Amino acid sequence: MRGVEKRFGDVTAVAAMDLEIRPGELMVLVGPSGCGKSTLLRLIAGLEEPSAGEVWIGGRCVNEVAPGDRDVAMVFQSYALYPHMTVARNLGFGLQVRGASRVEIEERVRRAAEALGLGDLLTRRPGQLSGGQQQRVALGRAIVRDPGVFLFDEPLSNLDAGLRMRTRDEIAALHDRLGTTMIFVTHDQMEALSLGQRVAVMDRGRLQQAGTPHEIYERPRNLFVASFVGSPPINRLRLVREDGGGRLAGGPFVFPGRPPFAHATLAVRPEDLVVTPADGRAEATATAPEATAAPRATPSPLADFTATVLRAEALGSEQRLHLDGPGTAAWVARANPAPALEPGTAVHVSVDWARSHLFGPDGVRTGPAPRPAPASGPRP
Amino acid sequence: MSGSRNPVAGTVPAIAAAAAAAGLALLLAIAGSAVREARHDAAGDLARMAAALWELPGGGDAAVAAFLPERARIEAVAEGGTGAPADPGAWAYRAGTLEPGARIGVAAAGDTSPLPRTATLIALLGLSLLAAWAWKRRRSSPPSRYPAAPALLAVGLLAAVAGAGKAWADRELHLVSAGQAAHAARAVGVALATGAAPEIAPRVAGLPWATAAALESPGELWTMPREVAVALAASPSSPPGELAYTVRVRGATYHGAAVALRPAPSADTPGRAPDTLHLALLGYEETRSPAVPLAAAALGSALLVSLILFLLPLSARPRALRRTLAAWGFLAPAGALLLVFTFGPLLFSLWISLHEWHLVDPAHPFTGLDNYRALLADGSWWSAIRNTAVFTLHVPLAMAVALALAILTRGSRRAVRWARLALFLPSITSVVAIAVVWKWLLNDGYGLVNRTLEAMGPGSAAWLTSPDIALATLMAISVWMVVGYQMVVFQAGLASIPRDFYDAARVDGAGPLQRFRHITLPGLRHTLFFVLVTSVIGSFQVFGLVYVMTEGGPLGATDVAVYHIYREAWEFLRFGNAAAMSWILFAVVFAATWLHFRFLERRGARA
Amino acid sequence: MPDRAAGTPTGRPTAGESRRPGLRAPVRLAASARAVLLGAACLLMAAPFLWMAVTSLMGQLEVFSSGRLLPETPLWSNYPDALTAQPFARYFLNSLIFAAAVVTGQVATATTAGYAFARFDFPGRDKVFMLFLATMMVPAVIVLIPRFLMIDALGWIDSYQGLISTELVSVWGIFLMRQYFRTLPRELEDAARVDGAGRARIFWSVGLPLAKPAVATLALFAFIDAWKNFLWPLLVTRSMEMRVVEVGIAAFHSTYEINWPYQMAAGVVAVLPIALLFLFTQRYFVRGIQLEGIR
Repeated sequence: MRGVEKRFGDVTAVAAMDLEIRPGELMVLVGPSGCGKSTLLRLIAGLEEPSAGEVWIGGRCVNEVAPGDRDVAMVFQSYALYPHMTVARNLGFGLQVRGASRVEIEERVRRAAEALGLGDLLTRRPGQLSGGQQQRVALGRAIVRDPGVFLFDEPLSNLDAGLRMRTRDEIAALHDRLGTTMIFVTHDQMEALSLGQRVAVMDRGRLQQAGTPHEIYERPRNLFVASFVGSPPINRLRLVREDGGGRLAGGPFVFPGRPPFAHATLAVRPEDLVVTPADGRAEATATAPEATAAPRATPSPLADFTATVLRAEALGSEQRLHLDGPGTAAWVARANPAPALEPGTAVHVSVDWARSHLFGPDGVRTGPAPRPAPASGPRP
Repeated sequence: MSGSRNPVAGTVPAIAAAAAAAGLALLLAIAGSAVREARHDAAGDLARMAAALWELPGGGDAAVAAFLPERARIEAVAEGGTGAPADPGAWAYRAGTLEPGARIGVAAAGDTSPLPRTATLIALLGLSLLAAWAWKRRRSSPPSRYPAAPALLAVGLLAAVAGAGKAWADRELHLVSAGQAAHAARAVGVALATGAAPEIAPRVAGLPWATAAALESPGELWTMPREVAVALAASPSSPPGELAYTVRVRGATYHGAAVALRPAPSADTPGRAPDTLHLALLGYEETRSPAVPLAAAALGSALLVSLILFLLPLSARPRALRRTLAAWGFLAPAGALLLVFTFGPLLFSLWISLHEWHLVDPAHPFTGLDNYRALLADGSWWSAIRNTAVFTLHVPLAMAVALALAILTRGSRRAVRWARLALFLPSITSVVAIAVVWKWLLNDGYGLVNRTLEAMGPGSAAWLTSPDIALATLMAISVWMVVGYQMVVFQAGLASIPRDFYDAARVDGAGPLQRFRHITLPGLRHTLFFVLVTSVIGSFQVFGLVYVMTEGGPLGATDVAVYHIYREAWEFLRFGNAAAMSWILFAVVFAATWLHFRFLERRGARA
Repeated sequence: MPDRAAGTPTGRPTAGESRRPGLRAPVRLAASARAVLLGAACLLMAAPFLWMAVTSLMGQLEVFSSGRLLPETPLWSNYPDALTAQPFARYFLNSLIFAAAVVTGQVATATTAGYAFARFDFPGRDKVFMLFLATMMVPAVIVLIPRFLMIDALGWIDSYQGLISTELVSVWGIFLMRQYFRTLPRELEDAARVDGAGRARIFWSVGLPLAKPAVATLALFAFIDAWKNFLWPLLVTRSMEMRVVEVGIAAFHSTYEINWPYQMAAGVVAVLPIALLFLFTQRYFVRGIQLEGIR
């Protein structure tokens, strides 16, 4: 499948979109609500018509092809099961419309139902099923048709947390088994990262970045991607250009060199902050769990700045610290659960600068921030 | 870009051109067939005249031969045969009142007349232009700078052809009627020659003739409005003989012919016996003019062509085109029925209201606004309007009762469901049955109401027979009828007011009346408005109650607008007047609705 | 109504005032006053029907004897006598044919048109819809004369097609169906489209089955409107064989002017089917009225 440019309407829901999805790939479209990801999916399905540009599936332009003839199957957020038909008829409707023989329909419905564990439910109506079962039927309806492309429009958002995890794994397993191209839309970045072979991040109708989950997380192309992906969200700090280089707004240190912009944004992931209590118990270094598991570049013994703990959330496997540090923003750091840090505790914080990101005023990443030097003094 | 790729795009202009061509062909066929039918029927009339002559004492073959030397022939028919004409194309037959075994056939004038040549030329020219444009358009995809131009061209073309067709048909029909008048005069002449009495002689001409001679003799002979006969008699230019002439009366064309009568045989006839008989036929160009079908066909074809041309830009996007076509396909059943039975009649009604339109009079002379002007001075009509307006005053009363009932029945317990049946039943059952029951209940002497009132003391009243209270009685019955429906609407409205509002008001210490004033009423504002408007529109159209219970009486006290219109049209057969009345009624209803909107909108803005 | 104090068991948010188990005396008084009022209102509303039923069983002269409220002996023979005095069976058949055809026609036209307005995106849709709606403001009497002339010109006076053809479309029904279709989840139809169904198939297999409640409401209203229709059948029917019940009763009324028991018997027979119909289909009425309010 080759996705070329798609634009849409006077209210631009999807603007100048160029996206290629490789055959057999599980691609996740992710973005905040209203970013056009569902519209994009509906464009691919043919439920909307592009106002400009072309959609290509399997080497043919399908702009003028009706949804039913595109060899795609779709699972909807609300499942969209026909409430007046039994599960069996729901599953078989697509085949029936295509004029498949009764025997064939029965056979394929039976196989799909068995694969999904729906064998006992075939004579029920959707209203008599639980949410999870409905979700399976919706999935089954897509599988029965044996389509070239699966489209998922936030199919998990109506499930409770546990079921969502399980279904997510099932979809991944299904993809492994069928090897069919799948496009999955979600607003949940965790879901996107865990499920997708590749992830496309969208915002306000534009594609922000497409890449593997690793690329998206480690090398976000712009500020939006950096702040959208990751939980808790990335720390964002404004930098102002100064004579000696860039200065953290209201902060104690200056970055050497001349940043090319008057304003820039520095972003540091919460797990890349190393927090040490300032009361001298230096040995009780608290670092991010990842850092403990696979130490990266040795954190500098020198703390980059000192901060006060405003609030500490004990989450079990880690504690999340809200720090009153330099800069305009409140800092968030992830730390080992022990020792528990009370609000008001003064801490030293060092930053893994190599893993930080510097974004220009247009939000595009320029690279990691250079290691800063302490400022000569607070600015008036 | 993809326009040339798909097959649909290329076919649309072709379809448009084909539709235009079909429309033109239809127009020409309509014009042609109107004339052909008129000729055929005229031949039938001649056959009837011939048969009448044949039957006259002293008539027979000779009279028929004298009447129609070339075109008539008498045939023997096999006993019991149904009498299918030997040559149906050329001969119009009438197996008249001849003695068994014979019939008279008259040849219709030949169908030699060509279809209107100018119209055909214009049509072909326009069509080829359209086709050329469509062909060019198919090749080049950029949108035309004048998208409406081809549609206008098509509409103009169709209108031109329809106009030319009508002109041609009218001219031909004119000739046919003139010929008929001449023939009628000749038939009367032949009849007189066979010795028929002057009173009887005109009858051979048959209906529907107007005869001026009959003016002095008993009125049985003239079947046309009297004023036509008067005009004919007064026509000074009438040349005695068999020559047809034309008079215009009330804007309609009559073809007249004069016959010299022999002096009346009996000398003791009082008054002057006429020496000339004038026969007049309402011109076929008035009664058989294909104007309406032509206009309808032209309009329909123009719509079709415009629609297709309108779809043309979509043809580059077959999916959008298909969607639009599908949508119109879904709309087609309802749309076509509405077009034929609602939108068409609306225009037709306006048209009728501008004419003097009597149901049995084939002439519908255009009278402009005369009908309306006459109605302005028509006291009985305005009293009907006044009665209707007064009648409408029952609506607020009914609404107050309905609202009270709705509040009483709030909640949906079983008892309330049964109560709802009792309350709702009057508004859904047969109006006529209800009217009959009430007529019985309110019977002056034996009705339950009067008997109860007498037993209780206050005494009886002439509910339906007193001009003072009959309308009020009808209003009361109407309240009884509509209250259930209104109640259910209010119940739905009440259910949509969030209960939190009431709880909040109670917490704020509002009493029941204050809660009603400040929560219920504002919450029901839209519902109240909806009920008011629909009920007022409905009450302006009350008919069944009046028809059954009072027939507009006593003394016109309950003569409401629709009943008045009904009588004007179906009792006095004055359709033109009745149509004008209905438009005045519409204006009144519209004004009332508009006032409601204005008034309540302003109130709403203030609230 | 003893359960009035119990409060709504399901906790449904009715617009009523909150009712608590511990009622104060004035509240109870108000409740019983309300019951009495309601009862009186119902009695008043039902009285004509009851009187109709009572009179229908009286003797022809008995009705004129004063002071008599109930028949001495119920005269059931009034019914067969009255109903055979004029061909009421035929009237009923005609009414049924008329109503059935109107219901079928209106359901067919309203569902298709309502679906088109609710679900299709085509140029000029809203204008056409407004044009349709505007006809609801026009008094029916305006089109009466031209319709009559058209039916006359077609030679359809005194025929079923003349009776039926003008009544086959209801703008109110189109409006109702459009409102209802708009409340249906669009995703269902999207799913059907992805499943490969065409427009007609989606309408038939998905849209229409889901709209059953609205169709039931529409059918009900159409049936009752057709059954109640008086003026149009009065105009286009001439012969006894073509009369519908409404026209039949009116004619019966003018023929048997003073035979009230006969007339009442006929009236009972005319009212009864509608009453029964309403009894069993109340909720569709209420739903129809509620749907009307959705704008």
